[in-house]
Amino acid sequence: MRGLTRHGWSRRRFLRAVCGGCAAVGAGLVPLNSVAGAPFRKAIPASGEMLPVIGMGTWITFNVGPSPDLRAARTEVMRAFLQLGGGMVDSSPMYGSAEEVIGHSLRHIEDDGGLFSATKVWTRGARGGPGQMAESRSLWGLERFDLMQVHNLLSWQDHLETMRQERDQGRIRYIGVTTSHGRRHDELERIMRNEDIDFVQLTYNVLDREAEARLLPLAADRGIAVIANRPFRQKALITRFERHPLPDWADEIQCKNWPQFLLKFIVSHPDVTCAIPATSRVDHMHENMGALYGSQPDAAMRRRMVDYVEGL
Amino acid sequence: MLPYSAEVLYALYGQYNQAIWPIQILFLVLAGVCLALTLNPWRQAGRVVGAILVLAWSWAAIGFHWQHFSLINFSAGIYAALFAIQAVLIAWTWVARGGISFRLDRDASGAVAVTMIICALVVYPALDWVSGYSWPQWRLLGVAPGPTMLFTLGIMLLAKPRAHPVLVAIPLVWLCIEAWSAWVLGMPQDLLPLVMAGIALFLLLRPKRLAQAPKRA
Repeated sequence: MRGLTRHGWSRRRFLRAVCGGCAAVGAGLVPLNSVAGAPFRKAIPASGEMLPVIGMGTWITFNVGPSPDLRAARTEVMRAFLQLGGGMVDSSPMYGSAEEVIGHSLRHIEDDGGLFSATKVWTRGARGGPGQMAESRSLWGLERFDLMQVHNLLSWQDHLETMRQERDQGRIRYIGVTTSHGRRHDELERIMRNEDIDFVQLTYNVLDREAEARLLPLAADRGIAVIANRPFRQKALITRFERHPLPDWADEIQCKNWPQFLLKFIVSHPDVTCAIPATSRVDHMHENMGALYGSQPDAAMRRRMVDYVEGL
Repeated sequence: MLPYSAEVLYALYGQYNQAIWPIQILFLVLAGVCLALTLNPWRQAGRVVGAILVLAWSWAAIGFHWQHFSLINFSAGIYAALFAIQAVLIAWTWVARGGISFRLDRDASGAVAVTMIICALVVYPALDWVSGYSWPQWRLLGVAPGPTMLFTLGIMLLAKPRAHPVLVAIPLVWLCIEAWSAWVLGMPQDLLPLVMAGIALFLLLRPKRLAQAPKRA
């Protein structure tokens, strides 16, 4: 673990944080007219490590089973994500073959150290936890995960204990818990108040803003990083809004399309660390990653964005 | 909420059909044997047809759900158990106890039975083809759960005495699962077979007094 901080932030990762966006632009992967400065990163409160605000989810999209063609296609999606400056890839043992397909993709890509690996433990009771985490490491082809989360709070008391032990042994850097669809926020709040965790994952998007009331301020208070899942409500928001034009003022925050509009709304919240949109298409990945660049909306602009979509 | 897309489901069927080839041919031959036996007054026909259905449901349980579908769906283990239970139920009621014969009546049950069997054999893969999926991505009788359920319901509509309601419970559950999956995945090609299955289940579960109502001259 030479050259690592408490949370294992390597010099290589730091240099990449500084230079990654420039490389993506230089390679022509992000259109110049969508780029204004470096990729947008936020600090993980527990360590100060900088994380690109656009990550990648793998629910459905990377669960492609054994099909070589589909695996090759997902490898290109992963390649585009990392080349465009992405960091966090989030998965779970619940997502069928997704972890195996991620491992397949990573083996075919020369990772320059930008990957921030995040998965979950999803089993009832403590007994199966270590085995499942070991299997995830094997499927991804990694010796340790950057982030291990308790999936949907399942047996969270048992797993947090196990995860702390795994963190002490260097097999995990950060620990967290997840919810989705706005469920079990009261229980999540209790965990955030009482447990020593680094990350929470919850649903937050331009229409699902319940977390703004208590959970996001609490996360800021407690120094917990926030991952926003379901940024598009699994495509539903894009399907709903794409019939309408983007407002003229979307140019002010360098939004060229609805995915960028929706993602910039999420990641511009001061207490959100990153969003994890999922896609199975390289062109959609390019659209998503555009949100990593350019100016971000301020509070007034965020209000305007909400008013606009609620009026559609 | 399903953890896979329609594209991935068909890709899985493609891999699956290639991996098990030529088992599909065997099941088509066995389906032909079933149909021949339903037209034959041989006393043991019910047992043999039952045994073939047991084989098909067992294959769908282990060969499809357990070994292949579980790669993309964490619920596949439960589905495998359901199909295995259905195989046991058919084995008990038709193979072990016997006493089943077949008759094609000129009524709604007979018409639906024939339609179901045609759906299972031809319409299911044809709809896959029309929807843009070519061989080996087709769902075929005996190896895929949907057409296997349809074929079984068709045979049950021909059975005398009428199939015990316990035999209809798992097909009813599977119909609901398939309908929900088709809705979530956006697969309109499944609409027709599933509506037919719903009609067959209604005919199999309707009260006996309705089924045996005297016909007006």
